Amino acid sequence: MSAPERFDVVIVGSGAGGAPVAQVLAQAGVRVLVLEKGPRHGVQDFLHDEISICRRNFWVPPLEDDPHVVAREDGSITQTTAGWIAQCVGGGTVHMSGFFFRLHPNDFRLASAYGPMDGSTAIDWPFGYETLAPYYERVEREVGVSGDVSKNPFAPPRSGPFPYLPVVNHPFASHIDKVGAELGLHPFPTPRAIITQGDGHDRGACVYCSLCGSYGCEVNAKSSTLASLIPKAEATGNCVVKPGCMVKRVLMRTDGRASGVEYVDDTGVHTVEADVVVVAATAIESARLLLLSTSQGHPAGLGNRHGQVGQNLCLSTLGQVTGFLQYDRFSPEMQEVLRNSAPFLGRALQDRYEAPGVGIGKGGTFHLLWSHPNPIHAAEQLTRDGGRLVYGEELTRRLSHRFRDGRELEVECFSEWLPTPDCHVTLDPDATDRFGLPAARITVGRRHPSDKAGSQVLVDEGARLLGALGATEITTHSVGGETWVLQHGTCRMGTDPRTSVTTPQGNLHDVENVYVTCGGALPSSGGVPSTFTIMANAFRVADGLLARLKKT
Amino acid sequence: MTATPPFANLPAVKRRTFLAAGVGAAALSAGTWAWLRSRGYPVDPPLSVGGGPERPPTAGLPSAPYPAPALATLGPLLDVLLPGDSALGLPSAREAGVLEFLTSASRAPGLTPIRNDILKLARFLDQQAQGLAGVRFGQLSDPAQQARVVAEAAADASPRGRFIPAQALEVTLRLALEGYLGHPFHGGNRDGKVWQALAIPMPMDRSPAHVHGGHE
Repeated sequence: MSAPERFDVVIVGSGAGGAPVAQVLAQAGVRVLVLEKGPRHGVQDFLHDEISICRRNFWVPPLEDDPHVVAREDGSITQTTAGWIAQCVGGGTVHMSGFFFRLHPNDFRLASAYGPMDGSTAIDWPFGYETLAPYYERVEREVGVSGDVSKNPFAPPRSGPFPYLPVVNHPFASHIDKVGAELGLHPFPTPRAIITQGDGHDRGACVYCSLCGSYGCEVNAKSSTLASLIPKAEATGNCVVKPGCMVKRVLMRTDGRASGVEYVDDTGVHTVEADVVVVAATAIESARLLLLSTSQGHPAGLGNRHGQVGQNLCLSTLGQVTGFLQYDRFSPEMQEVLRNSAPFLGRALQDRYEAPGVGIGKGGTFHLLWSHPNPIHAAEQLTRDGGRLVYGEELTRRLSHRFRDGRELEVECFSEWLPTPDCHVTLDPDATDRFGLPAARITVGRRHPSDKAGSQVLVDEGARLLGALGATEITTHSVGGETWVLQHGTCRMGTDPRTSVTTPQGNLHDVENVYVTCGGALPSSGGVPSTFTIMANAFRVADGLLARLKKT
Repeated sequence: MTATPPFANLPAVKRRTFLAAGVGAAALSAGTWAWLRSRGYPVDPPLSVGGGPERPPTAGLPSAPYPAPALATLGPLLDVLLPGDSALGLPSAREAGVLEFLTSASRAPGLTPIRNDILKLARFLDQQAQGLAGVRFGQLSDPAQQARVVAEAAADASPRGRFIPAQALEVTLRLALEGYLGHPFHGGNRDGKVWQALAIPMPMDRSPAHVHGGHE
């Protein structure tokens, strides 16, 4: 083992939770080390190639290196790579779609504003929307978010317009606006973590290539932390980002404070000494790291005095419905519109964000988008008819219909995943990673019935809109489903150490100088994709941490 | 751990599931498959093969992952799976270079278990053809007979050791779809004709050929 390195702060993870902290601290003169398990990709790696990027192990390592174990309510236990988001500098923000909606004020009062909630372990957030609002605006400026708030009557309060004009959307979006209004709905432009004007340096404006989700952005228009925050942190000279470093445990001193971390890379095992440790490795992996960090004073894992680390896992509840816009069912003028190749449909709706009388009374967000353009993936969807494999001339007919006769339109719905005692992360007793460390066991047990009820409302509304738009072959693919790339709750913030892991300031209740800033810190999922909120909260925690560091 | 067969109940997934799959389940490598099988674990559907963001093998790699008799079966099989449509200008699998893609992709590190399954599938089809007409699958002159043999494989979910005909056929189809609809850089979708026939736009700018100086 080499001699310990020394930094003021060591951050585990470089994605939405880690990078904001790195930027804030480095710009203030704090010496920061960011340890990232995965490699560092450059724009030259971001090919427009479905096979290389989406069908091989580009974003996460092979299962034999890093298994997760998923235990289900039916008793099944499966080794899988589900639950990994991305292992690379920038984390999941590199391949995200970048739908950046804010939480609504009532999301922060989940336990007290809705009900009844029997069977859920939900708590209120330890602060309200007004606390996070300035940090949402900061994210919008720092990473670059485009949108038009004027069209969303349900938008939470904000102080001004988006820093970037909205992306140019497909002309069919105007038809959605018209039809939506006839149904009493309020479609609005989907805010995107995409810049629509170059920054004059390393980031170009969006080139409308159509490949955001699952791909990296070759012009850095997508606001990944790799494109936005990490370079700013490194430019200070105070931030070092080390890819290929797997943190094995947080090290503790005898006085109850953390002394740094131990990590392994290709050259062996190393120790970093630091005044502060920030854990930002995703809700699942942050919980795993804390549980692996046992010591004499923390025999059940760091921050786990009350057995809360890994509990209250919330993914994001998924609803999906698709419809087919068959050209010959539309007027020649509309056919021309539909054949336009503009990639972004960019319409979202929050008319049913609140859903009185349904479950706990909470719906969420649904948005419309063209189905993902990956042709191999699209074709795979056509190879099944129930349990029968479809091939040959029948598959050819399906391919021709799918690609030539019209366009598939998708409604994607995000809604609350209420925490229950039956969804949690622990260490698996059997499976290990390539370093011999116990893998995370993710138990997805009984879910709260409100999850499905809230999702159903959105799916039904989406299907109604699809029908009104002239879609046929309307098919529901998921109600109350799971979005594994959005994870929360396992190290949640709260004021009561018996029901939470971290303080409102972001540090462990038990350990003053260990912070958690990834999705694990969020007490709930909300009715939107959470990457935006993870970033905002990380900026908030970073400001507080910086103030603490200045005092000392 | 339960013992669900590796390809059982392959789901139809949509975009969000796909996003997760793209970073997770779908990224199952052949090495993973072998590793799981060796331990008797159930696995997520192996929607992919190969061992990483590797480029198509070009030189210095093991030759001939499939012996000639297997290729004589796999070629006709691929055309049964993806026959094309001349009226649409849609080439058949072989016309699109899918057999070459399959051969090239099967050289990738870690693909051995999947390649072995495809080999077993080829032998299975040959045996079925022998029983039906006394010749190997590739020698069946009647397309209806070829279709019948493939249909029997598609319907046969009974394990023969670790080989299950229906699942091997499905993974072969998935690999074939990569060669049919993937970027021509990888050796299939010859001249992009499948994309042209199906009106699938070419990916702009950052195709592998663009980056690596080859031809679009």
